[in-house]
Amino acid sequence: MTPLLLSLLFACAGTLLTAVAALPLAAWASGQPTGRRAAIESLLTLPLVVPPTAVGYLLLRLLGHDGPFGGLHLLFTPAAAVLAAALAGFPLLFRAALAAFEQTPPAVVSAAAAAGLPPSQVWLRVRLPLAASGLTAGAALALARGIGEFGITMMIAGAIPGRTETASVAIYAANAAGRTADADQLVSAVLLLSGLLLLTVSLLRRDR
Amino acid sequence: MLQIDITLVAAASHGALRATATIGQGTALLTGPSGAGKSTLLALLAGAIPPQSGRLTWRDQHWSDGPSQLVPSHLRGIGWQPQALSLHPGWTVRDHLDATYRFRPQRPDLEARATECLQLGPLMARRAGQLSAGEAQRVALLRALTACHGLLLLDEPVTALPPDLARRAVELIASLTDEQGWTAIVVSHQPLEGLQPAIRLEMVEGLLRTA
Repeated sequence: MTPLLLSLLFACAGTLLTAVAALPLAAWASGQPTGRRAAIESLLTLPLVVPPTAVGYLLLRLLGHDGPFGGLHLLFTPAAAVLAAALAGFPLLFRAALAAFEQTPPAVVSAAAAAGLPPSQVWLRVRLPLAASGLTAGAALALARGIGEFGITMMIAGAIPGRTETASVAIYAANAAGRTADADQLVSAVLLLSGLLLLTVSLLRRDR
Repeated sequence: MLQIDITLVAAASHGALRATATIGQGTALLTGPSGAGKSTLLALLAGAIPPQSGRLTWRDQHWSDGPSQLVPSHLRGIGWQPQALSLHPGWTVRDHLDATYRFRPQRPDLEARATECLQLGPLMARRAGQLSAGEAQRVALLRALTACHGLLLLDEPVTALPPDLARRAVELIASLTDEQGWTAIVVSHQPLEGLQPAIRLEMVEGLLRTA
């Protein structure tokens, strides 16, 4: 079950990493004029629609020996798998966060500011709590997407057993090698895990 | 003394607006047809939206010059009751007052008097999300009064209240404004019983004028 644990680990770490980037970006984008916001949203949603192998290829060029970030030696390490999960989940969390921030009634925010709360407090005590269910749902989707990540992971993290081989990669390998029992086991586990995550998302949505 | 000389170009969320006025201490009653820009003017004064051009001056301090906010909303010391739902649904009534007291001095006597008059004592521990429309309006008014340290902006403050309570609330607004030396701008589409405004303003099609 090591691949499944690695999948979970990489997806969790990737979701945390993506949250660090997606939440401030969504917060910033939500304050932009409509036209600029649409451009930002389109640009940052690209990883969702561009084929994962293409995203992986671009990362290979960036992180490879000759690339500008080659010195980081990230390729084919667990860190690369985390990066793959983070990138795959980013658009989902970013869009959910943007929607959640935009749904906050503007008068609640501006009245809190007028009553004396500085911008940092307005974010911490008003905007984030009011967006909480949307943010959690977005994070759960990003996590689910991270667990299912295949294309980017294959390109930049490879399939080193016990090190970078995640469940989705291991399923592919098991099937290719004719190890049907292994594949069956992994597929059932992944199905169960993803189902639970999606159920969490719908419960959170209903809560709202 | 509030000096207003601002222009706002129409946008998706609001219409165009042109306002020039000097408003002294006391209560100013702002009337006008709906959609004329009364609420937008209050939002401009509160710093919730920036004007495109012009200047906003409060007691010799420039609050905004052109589109730049020289004094941001939270530092204006205002009490603002917007017309739209403005309470944090997860906060109790008490939380709304305490949030302000972390940044502005508390005046226990003023709070006690306003709470008593608006009959909000028993609701202090209630979450805003569980309040009725009339209760929420009283809480928004209470927050504006306890937060105010100079300029009070009230947008249809008592429309959801029963007549006798509305009258007492208006008298409270008027007497606190007098005692504290505030400048209050009260938006209302009808004359408010119990209010003798020092100045009457009218907003018609985005243009502010003295009535």
